Amino acid sequence: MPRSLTRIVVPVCALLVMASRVGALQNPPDNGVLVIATGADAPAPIPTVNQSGTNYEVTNLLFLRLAEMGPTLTTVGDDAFVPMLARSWKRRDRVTIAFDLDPRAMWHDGRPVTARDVVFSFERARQEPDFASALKRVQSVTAEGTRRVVFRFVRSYGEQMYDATNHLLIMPAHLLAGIPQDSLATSNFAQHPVGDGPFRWVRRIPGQLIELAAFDRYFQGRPKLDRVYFEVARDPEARLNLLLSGQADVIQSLSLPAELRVKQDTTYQITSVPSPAVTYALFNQKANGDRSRPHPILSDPVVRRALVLALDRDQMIQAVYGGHASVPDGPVPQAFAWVDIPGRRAAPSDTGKARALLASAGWIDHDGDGILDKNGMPFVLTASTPNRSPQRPLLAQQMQARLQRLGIKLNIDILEFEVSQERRNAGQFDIDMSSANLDPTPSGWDWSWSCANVGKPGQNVGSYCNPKIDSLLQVAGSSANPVSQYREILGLIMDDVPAIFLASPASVIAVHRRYATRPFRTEMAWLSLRQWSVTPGQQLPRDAAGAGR
Amino acid sequence: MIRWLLLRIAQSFATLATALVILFVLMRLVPGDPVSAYIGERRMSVEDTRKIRQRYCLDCPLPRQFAGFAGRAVHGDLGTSIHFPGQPVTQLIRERLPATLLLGGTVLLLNFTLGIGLGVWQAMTKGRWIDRLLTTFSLVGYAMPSFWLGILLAWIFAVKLRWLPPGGITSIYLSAEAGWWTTATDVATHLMLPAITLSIVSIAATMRYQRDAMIDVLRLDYIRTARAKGLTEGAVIARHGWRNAIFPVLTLFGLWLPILATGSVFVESVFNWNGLGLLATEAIGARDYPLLMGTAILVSSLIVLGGLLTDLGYMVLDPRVRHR
Repeated sequence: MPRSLTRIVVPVCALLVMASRVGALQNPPDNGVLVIATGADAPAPIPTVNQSGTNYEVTNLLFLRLAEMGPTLTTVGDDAFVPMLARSWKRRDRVTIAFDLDPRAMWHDGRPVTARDVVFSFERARQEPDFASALKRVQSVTAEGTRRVVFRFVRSYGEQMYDATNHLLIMPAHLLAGIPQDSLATSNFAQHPVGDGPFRWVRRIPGQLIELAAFDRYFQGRPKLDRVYFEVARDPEARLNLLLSGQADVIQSLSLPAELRVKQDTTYQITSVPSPAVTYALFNQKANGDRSRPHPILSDPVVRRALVLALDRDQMIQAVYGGHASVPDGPVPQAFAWVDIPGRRAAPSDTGKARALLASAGWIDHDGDGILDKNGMPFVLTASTPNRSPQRPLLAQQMQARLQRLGIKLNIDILEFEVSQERRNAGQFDIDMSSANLDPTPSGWDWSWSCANVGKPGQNVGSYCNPKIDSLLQVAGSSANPVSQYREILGLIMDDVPAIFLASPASVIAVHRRYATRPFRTEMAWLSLRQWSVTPGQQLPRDAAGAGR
Repeated sequence: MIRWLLLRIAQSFATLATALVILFVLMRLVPGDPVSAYIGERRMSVEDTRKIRQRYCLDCPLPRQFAGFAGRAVHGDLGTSIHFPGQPVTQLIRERLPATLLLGGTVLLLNFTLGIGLGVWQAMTKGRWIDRLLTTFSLVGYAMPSFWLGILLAWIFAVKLRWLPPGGITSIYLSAEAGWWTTATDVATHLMLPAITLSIVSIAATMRYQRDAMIDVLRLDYIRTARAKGLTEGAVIARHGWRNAIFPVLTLFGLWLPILATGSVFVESVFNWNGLGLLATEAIGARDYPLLMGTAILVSSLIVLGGLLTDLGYMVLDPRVRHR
């Protein structure tokens, strides 16, 4: 190479190298990388494939809905929703809503999101048992051109918008039309899903890691987090070690002892997010294992009311959850407070009244053995609880201690989760320590509390029946504003006491302090990641290198 | 010898088949139902639940279920997982097998090099301070629960000192395009804590067996004769002593092989080492029959293989067995 050329080429190369270095270091000061320690893998993050755990969380970062619920999580009406893929919607009549898609929305492969994608997604979802029930009130979904999609419902009701938007994330028809639903989970698409959300798929190492990256052309603005990693660690202790060793930035569902350990490290802040869960002691109103006979003790509503009054639920949840739970009024988690009856709260503990109620129902300690009895039958019950939940056995123990003071013997049966589910479905229990992640809509109450579903596996396994609730649910199902019916049902449930609603627990999340977070969403904690950033000046080396990786 | 070997292999297959039939039936007798586990506390109607049962033939008569499983298994298809919907069992096992082999192989290697070496050394220095020290170490190591040791090591070396990663197989920042050296060193640092945790217990056991066997052999007449012939101590130990003292350790090897494949569940769990042990635990918890059968086939095969290799080892090393 001639010397003159060398004189030019070498400095130019040096400048190019320097420029690239500067470019790497000039990652915006509030961009960053987030590592979430999670308990499960996401083997197939596709909307119509099993949506639970991490699969659901990752899917919600990759794909979008037509609209999202607003901060109040109200499911009634058309206005409480926030535009996502649909930039607007218009009601044509009482059973028809037309959505106009945002023309800027695009798939991660650069193709635009069209009405065909929406139609395709709903057709696919209907084939899946997980979605079929939820979409039963949607009669048809049709495309009008490429940007407008029209939903028609089987009847007029107040939660049409919720049904059209909440259950399903939209999938790319151009990539999935040729793949049968049965082989979707094992398809190449499941290994490299293409979505339209704020984050795009990078890679998955099975059982270990899922890596997502900010989608540069996301139509609502590129996220500040360049990379989001889900590091899979099934064991809670292993997840905690990932956080405390600085390898992970966030963990969810901290137990009380783990929270105390995290609090010793000032690098992390603890956030408590109301969850959609309710934990309750479900009464079996039929005899344990024999649904043809009423339960000899629990079929009496007076006894059930006395049991509620015997428990100081505030104290119980303080002991089990620390400050991270509240006492629900009924099957309504703290987060869905819009359903609560104004001015009416869960009955406070009153052991004197509980004792009197039990005596009025004939439950007195006639033989002086310390246990109440009636017609020679002692007041002895068994609470079944699955071993998978750390809290439910503790709650059962709290109940046991409190009921003992009233002369009620409560045995506790801690069962393997699968066995407890099997017994629960077969009605083989007195009290089942249940927990459910509830849908935001109270229309789902028919599942567990309506006479139509008495004894059905996984549904009204406690065999509670109040025909008035069924008729109110029916009215609510075709009412434009069913809130009053929902509140009336809630009042009936509070009066009848089919269960003791013990706790509406919050999810306890530990986050590295360098992040400027947005409020965590109840229905999916990580939904707000698209708005997270790193506080300028607090970037770690890995944050600064994030975009250049 | 060939005839013996063929007979032994045929025996192994018969054992394997019998074990699998028993497992298949026992699994279905255990309380708990895979569909209830799959649904968990989610909502699914009776009709939809029935569809899922149909999909996995869980409502079929038991003989038909077994015929379906066996028919597919002979073609290498172990069915589809219920707990990991849509995922073929063979794929799930293939994904986890390398991690298990790496951890198990490392532990086996450390076990049989250090365990045998230290055991022999102890026998040679019997009664001296080094023997007493190593005996104490082996007793402590053998008595120490590996899950507790794992938690302790992770807390010291990962959380407090931050010298080693607390879990996983590779760093999440390790690029797929990283060179082999970068990848190897990254994997090695992740392997260190789980391998040490598992090895301490297994080395302690091997040392005890090897020491006692070697002491017994060193007392025998032919060893005295070898020494009287003027052979060096090294030659006496290596050529005459150790060869006869290896048999108890060989039996131990046959037993360790399957245990290392799935028996390290606690260690895999504490160090987030994504191997077959964790997969098997998940399968048991979820009553995922296809996945359970898949892991059972693997473990049963390893048990049978362990036995076969031990027998072969005996045959190679002991002429009395060879000529029997």
